[in-house]
Amino acid sequence: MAENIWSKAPGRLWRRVLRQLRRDWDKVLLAILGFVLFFVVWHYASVIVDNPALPTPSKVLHALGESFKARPVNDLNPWTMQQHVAASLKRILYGSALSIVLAVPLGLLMGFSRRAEALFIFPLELIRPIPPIAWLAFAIAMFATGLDVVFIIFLGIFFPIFVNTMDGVKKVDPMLVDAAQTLGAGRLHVFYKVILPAVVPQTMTGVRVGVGVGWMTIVAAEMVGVSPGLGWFIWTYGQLGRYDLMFAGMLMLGVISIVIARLLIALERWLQR
Amino acid sequence: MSGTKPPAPQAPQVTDPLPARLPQPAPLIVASHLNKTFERIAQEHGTDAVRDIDLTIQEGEFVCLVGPSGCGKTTLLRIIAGLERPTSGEVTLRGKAIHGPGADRGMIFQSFALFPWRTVRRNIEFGLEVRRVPRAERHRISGELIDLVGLQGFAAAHPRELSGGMQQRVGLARALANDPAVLLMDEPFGSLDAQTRNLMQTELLKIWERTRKTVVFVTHSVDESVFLADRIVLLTARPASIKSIVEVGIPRPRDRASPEFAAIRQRVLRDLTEEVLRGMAQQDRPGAVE
Repeated sequence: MAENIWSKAPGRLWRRVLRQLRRDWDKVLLAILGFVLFFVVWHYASVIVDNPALPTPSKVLHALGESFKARPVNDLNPWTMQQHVAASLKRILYGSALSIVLAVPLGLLMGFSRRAEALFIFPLELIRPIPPIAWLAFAIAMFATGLDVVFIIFLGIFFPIFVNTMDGVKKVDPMLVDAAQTLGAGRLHVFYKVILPAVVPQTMTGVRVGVGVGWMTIVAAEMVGVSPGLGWFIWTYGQLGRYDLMFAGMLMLGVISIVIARLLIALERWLQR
Repeated sequence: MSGTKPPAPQAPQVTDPLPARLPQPAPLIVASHLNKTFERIAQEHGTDAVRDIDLTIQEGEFVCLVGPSGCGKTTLLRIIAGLERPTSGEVTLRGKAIHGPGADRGMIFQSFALFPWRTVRRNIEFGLEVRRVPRAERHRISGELIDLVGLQGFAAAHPRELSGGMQQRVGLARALANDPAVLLMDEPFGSLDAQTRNLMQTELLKIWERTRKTVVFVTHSVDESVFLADRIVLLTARPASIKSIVEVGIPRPRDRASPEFAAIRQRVLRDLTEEVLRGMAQQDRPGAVE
């Protein structure tokens, strides 16, 4: 039985991909075209501008390839791209985990209880508009290197998740709660069989937005000398005038963000089953 | 129990006039002196939704509550469901006072109120899950209900993939899964088109005849009530009180074109029109509303 599942699964996946391709071939084609167009425009822009600050895509891709190779220890940047990415990913992961653990329960509570909302809303609204980067000096003085970045990222991710979760609870259709109650559900059942699944999509939107904000803040947070890290990589090579490597780091950041966003969408679908 | 008198040793005095074999009508739901006032912050006085309703519903009976729209018939149903608390008076189910919603009273909503993230099967199984019915048993019950309401082949579908009529079949099956004492139906076919509506009425009667559930059915369609009900309870314009009760008494299946059908429809419609007009007159004089 078990063998069967494993031997069939790749075939099924392949067939699904093929079916999707057959149905959406025009979109796939357009996406590829858009991709090519992006590089073409970039290339000619670089040729026309003729300024080292805007290297051609081929130079950037070459630099990107180089950045993956092992480096001498006495180099300014002794780390490989993998190490930079891993370091930044780890910080994003910690920051997200911390945000989710704090923002989701708080959002649920404040969406549920007007008293809790009245109690907490003012301090939260006060902190929310402060850009995470404004906390940088505080974070550096307060936390160990690396952890300061996690704190900054946490601030960036926390609020989108919190606001979306709270809003999601308020928007749960009261009819669904009524329906659950007439089916015999008590408060606890209503909470984890109705409120929670109803809120998941919006919370996940918050996570997606939040992680996006996290990637935006990481460059700024790491540029003060937290290495290794993608932010440090981009900042340092920018300072050194190695724009090919700088753009390589930026490209890497974009690619990772896309992958993470896709993974989160998949996770959301899975959570909602 | 120490304070009660010892039972007097006497033979039953009253001889039952009915033969013992006939099923005796037993009251299932008794509403007595029911009042509901919604508190409004903006107004000094609340608005009365239900005023002094006394109503007895027998076991196995199909009762329709008919009244002008916005009259408070849904509020009455929600009080029976336990979703609203009456301001005064009480409702009992088999002699026990109702204090909140419970699985013994299944509710069916006009907006279906299905859980969009659950499949048809898992919607139906919701009440069973809450009551910790084992998985295999849940599966068996939901399978039977899927057959009963005619949703074969849609067990794995999500509500958004279904038409309105099919969604309401899920709503019905979901309520039936708990094997409730009564089905409370709040304008269940109100958002369906006319053809689907007629079809669903016929299907509902078939299911009712098979399960013999007591049904309390809120509608503002006189035609629907005459087609379905044993008894039609006509409510007044807001606040709802009982204006008249009509025993339909036409054997089923009923022919909407028959003269008996027309006669009863006429009678209910006359009372309803009176109330609709009265309700409109109330609205025209803003100061006159409670």
